[in-house]
Amino acid sequence: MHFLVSKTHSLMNRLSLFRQSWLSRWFLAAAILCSVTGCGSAKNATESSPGTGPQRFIFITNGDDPFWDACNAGLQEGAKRSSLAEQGLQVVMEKNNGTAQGQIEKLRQLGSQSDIAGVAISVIQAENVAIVEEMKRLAAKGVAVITVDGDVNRKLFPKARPYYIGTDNVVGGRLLGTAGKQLLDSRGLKDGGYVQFAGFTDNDNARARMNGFKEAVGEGYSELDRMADSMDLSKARDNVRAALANHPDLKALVGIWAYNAPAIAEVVEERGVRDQVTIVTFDAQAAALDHMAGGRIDCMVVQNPFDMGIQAVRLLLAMHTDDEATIATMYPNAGQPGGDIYTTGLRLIIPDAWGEDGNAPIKPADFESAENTGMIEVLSLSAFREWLVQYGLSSS
Amino acid sequence: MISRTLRWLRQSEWSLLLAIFAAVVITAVIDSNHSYYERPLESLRDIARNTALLGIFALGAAVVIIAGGIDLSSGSMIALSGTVCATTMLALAPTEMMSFKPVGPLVVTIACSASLLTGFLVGTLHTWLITVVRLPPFIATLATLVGLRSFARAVCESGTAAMTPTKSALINVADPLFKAVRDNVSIPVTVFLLLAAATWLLLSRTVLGRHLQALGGNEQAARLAGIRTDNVKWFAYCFGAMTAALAGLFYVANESVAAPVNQGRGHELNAIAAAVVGGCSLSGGVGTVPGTVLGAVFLRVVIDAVSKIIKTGADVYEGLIVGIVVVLAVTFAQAGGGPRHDRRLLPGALGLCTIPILALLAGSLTAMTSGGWAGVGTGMTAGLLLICLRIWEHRSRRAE
Amino acid sequence: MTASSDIAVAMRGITKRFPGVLALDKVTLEVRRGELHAICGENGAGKSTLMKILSGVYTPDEGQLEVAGHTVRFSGTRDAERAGIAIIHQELALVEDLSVAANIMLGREPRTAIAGCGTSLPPQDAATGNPENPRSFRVLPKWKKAMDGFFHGQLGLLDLAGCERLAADLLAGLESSIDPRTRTGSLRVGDQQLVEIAKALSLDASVIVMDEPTSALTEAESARLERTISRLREQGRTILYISHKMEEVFRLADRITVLRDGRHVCSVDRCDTTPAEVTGWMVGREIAGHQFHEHRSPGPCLLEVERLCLPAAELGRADRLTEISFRVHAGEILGIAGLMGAGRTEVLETIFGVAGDDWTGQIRLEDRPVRFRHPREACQAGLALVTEDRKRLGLFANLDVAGNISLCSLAKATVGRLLSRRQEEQLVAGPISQTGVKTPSPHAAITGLSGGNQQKCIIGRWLLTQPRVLLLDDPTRGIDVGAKAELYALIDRLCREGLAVILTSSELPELLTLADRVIVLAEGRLTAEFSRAEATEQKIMAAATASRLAGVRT
Repeated sequence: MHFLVSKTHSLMNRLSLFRQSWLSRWFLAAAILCSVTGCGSAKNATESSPGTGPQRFIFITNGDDPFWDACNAGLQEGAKRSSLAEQGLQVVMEKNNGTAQGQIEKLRQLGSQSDIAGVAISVIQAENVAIVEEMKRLAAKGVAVITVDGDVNRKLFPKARPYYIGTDNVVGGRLLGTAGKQLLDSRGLKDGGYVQFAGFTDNDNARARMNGFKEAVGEGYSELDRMADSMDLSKARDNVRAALANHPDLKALVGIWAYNAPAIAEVVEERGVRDQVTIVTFDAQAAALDHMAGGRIDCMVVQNPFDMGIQAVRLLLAMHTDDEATIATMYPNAGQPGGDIYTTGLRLIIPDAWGEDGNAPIKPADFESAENTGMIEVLSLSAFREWLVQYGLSSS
Repeated sequence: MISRTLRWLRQSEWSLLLAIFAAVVITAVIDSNHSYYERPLESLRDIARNTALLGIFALGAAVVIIAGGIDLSSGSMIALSGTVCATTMLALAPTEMMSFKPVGPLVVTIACSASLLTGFLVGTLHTWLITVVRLPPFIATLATLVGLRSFARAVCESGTAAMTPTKSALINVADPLFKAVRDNVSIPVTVFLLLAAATWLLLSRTVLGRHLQALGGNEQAARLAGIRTDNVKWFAYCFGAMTAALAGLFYVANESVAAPVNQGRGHELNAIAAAVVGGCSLSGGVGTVPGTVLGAVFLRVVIDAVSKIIKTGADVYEGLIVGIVVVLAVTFAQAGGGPRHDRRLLPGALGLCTIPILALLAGSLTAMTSGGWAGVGTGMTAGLLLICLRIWEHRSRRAE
Repeated sequence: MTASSDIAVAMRGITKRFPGVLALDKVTLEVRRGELHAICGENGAGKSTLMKILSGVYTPDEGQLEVAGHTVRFSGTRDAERAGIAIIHQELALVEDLSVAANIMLGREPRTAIAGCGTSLPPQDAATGNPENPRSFRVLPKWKKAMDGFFHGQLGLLDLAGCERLAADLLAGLESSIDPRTRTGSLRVGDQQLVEIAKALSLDASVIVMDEPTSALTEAESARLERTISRLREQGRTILYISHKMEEVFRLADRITVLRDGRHVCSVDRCDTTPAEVTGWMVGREIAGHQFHEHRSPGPCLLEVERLCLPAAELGRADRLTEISFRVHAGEILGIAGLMGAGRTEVLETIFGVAGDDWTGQIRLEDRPVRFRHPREACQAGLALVTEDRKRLGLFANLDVAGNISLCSLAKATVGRLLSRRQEEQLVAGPISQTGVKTPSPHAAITGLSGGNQQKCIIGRWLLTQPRVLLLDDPTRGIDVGAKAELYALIDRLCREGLAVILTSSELPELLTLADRVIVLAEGRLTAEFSRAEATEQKIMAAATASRLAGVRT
């Protein structure tokens, strides 16, 4: 009897110890996993039943940048204007990590989900075959696929996507080149070198802008280098430092992507060479606007990502609901070469002081012409800022 | 009979299999799209492809770890191998490459062989640095981690500068052979399974495999037992580098571009995690191929689960969840040797500090995904659970 | 029945389990105050586990501990230290990179009186070592202890001079002139052990446990240790002495407790028993003091070493070996004697090819000059080396018993080109039975075997390679009496089968038991060579301690 009791006792002891250490582990595991999976299900609790929940339009960016925040604001505005919610749709922006692999993976993931109504993508590498194939595969499943801001190489992949929305980057480049040329002329510099800075030099829009700039600024000035920084902000600044150090006859610095502008302005300020170089940039990050107000940037060409967002939603909805009329309005020349491109507007922003000054290097009147109406607008800094405030944006 | 079958996989591997199954079931249920129900083949295809890509060089990482070393440079080796392949193709057939036309199987074969040869050379370099120059493996492969990627970029840029009009940081590869690999998931999966079978055979059934385990278990004793340790290390590091080179070829096929700047960046840690989750010990001598394969599958299933459950912005949380899961998996794998009776999970002052940390982690995760109040609730629940655990441990200890 | 106030330490009904093993089974032990209590048992009998429970390293699964009549519970070594129990482990627990003083005061470093945070030395009890008032347990409330620890803990600067003074005092009390600032790793093992004892003394322990203290000491150091022990006993401290050297036990102990297979066999007064009886209790049978070296007929010379010189590994140090020459014949055992550091291991390693290409001289194997650059070449030529530190240099903890034994002969375990489990089992069955390894199965973990069985596995590994010359480097170190006897019989049998055996040992009786001839090394030189008939322990010891400068007269 005593033997039995002691045996049971020791068995219980052993079990309790066993249970204790195993249970402890399971406790911890459960506590953590619960919160993680719980959060997922809580998020989806708003959706009623599988498959009939809101369908989604996904916007895939090329990387992370405040430019895309303005675009996102445009997407949501477009959602309001097109009343997506009533139609059981929503639009979501997915930020990529700056690699082609990331975009390929995202496209594949979307392919295996069943609630995708349309995809807009800013392609990060224009000649990447794999991205194009994934886009085609999505389209074959009935998902509407378009490119926005960053297009595929149109010569190589003519059938990759039906429509493109974005800036005509060549025109943008030319605009900046013209402005740059006028600036340099007015400063009495007839020749010299310039360096262009971008994230990737083989990205379609970067290439188009750089080529446009080169074309417009003319033979008199030599393009010393095109420096890429792979969307690494500290690398962007190091590139500017390297350019200033390596090229003594550097006369102009050209920022092609949005974050290059503040990088150039700050490094030039740091080196104290503001009076020796001309700075012209693309896109208006909030920091860049401040630099312009402070006189550290000469002028900038600004895209309209807000409008890109609105138009993207409009087009995707039209494609999803087979709304031929809207598509025809947006793309009147569909079927003809270049007819699948919808260009959003460009603006040339100049400092306020030049508006009043009769001797300003750039005057709005220079750019008024038939072909430029609606496409190109010249604004002073404060006017542009007012426009931003109107839509609750801080950058463009 | 049953015990023989059970012995075929170790205990930790059966529990890993169970964990994979559990993860799949949880995802299938929680995912509101029920993608696993509605599109099972596609999800399977994606997971299989990613597992094969990871698994190929995770096997190499496992062999190096079993031999007592470590290879931190797999990701950079992937970049270098892809670049070598693309540059060779560019050199042999520049016009076809630039105009996105097929380059022909002969050129592809030469280019792939060049990549594998590069793997062999890098492995030899590692062995030389480790056995002759006497660098610790961590340092030697850390140096190649940064060096090889930079070298690959230089090769890419000088290659494109020499053979194409512009200097470029990437080379597009549009050959139909690579496209075939990209489209047919069965090709990388078959290669992976064949490689896994060969590695398993090597490790468990050949003399060299036994020597590898002995080397990893006790290097000095292995030398004194007459094993030529330098040669065995040479094999291990070359195997690691050549599997990474092979993986690099698949990466290029998958992305249709050789982009040494970022290709495979950080992926060596996924390979090491897969090996460790599968039961390899970083001190060497311990590890199996089935474990590593299951580890790779588990990692990819968890990553896919994260994408399916957290639909938008999943990659924000991916790293955090993979980290937590790896910690849990390795803890359970270690505990597979039997419960440690005298180990408390929240001892002393350290345990007291850990309680708020874990509660905060759970709470902030939930708050970021489901909203503030849910976060507070989860955090407090987790905190309470942990405090109860601590009191229970304290009481049971007192009672002893 | 002894009065309870007489008992310094009592362990009642202690049971301890490890996964798969019952290490201690209701062991009861009573140690009287002030006595030297010897604990004897084979390896695996549970002595070390019992002492680790006493010193707080492990907690018992069942049973209780009593210190000075109070039941106590230790949750770590600190609790045991505060209760006045200190342990000197067999594997020294010192931090090699710190100085001697730092090691002695580790964890209890004296702090300078800065910011008024307490005195410069950790508080000590007034009555230290007084047999009437053993150091009592601190019964401060827990929160006070915590605050005390915090303020005397991480805040405060180290009082280095005070530390060194303390250390110097302690070492002087142990007849040692070691400089407290010396880096511990550079000391010899005997001196390191003294540092450990000083550490135990600084704890002011009333119960000191010594786990096989003389296993790594020379004769002189052992004698010094014995003088220290008597001094400690004069101070009234209780000593627990683990050993299986009968001469020591019977010279020093008051009472003897024998453990076997985790159970308490008996506790007797020393005067009531004999060494043979105690050994009998330890192994469960009587061991005869067999002499093995009779009737051997050596054959032809198999290995000849001529003027072997091995330069130093670092510049500025003396050569490791100078002009060593000897011969070994088939069917003969050559013993190599010498103190630690005399070069015995270096001789064997150089012959085996471990030292690479550094050496000069001639080595002839069956009249053919050989020069091995890697152990593999030596192995293929018919040599085998069983290294001294089997855990560090011989065993593979990640392989099972079969894996460890078959490692050098894997080619024989293959079917075609692939290893076969069945072939391997058949292959290792031979050595297992030949050497008498006790293991539940050939696929058991090697770490589960006792030291003696592990050594047999390693010898079995080399036997599979069918060597002609067997080099054994201190093969019975750390092995209990029963297994030692089995190893002696095995080595003798191998020798009679025609192997040439070179045997290194630090135990002179062992050499005299086994060897046909003995050569003696001292500081890298060959100082003497004896045949068995001429050899005595005194002569060998004299030759081993012969210094380089002996015989130099002005």
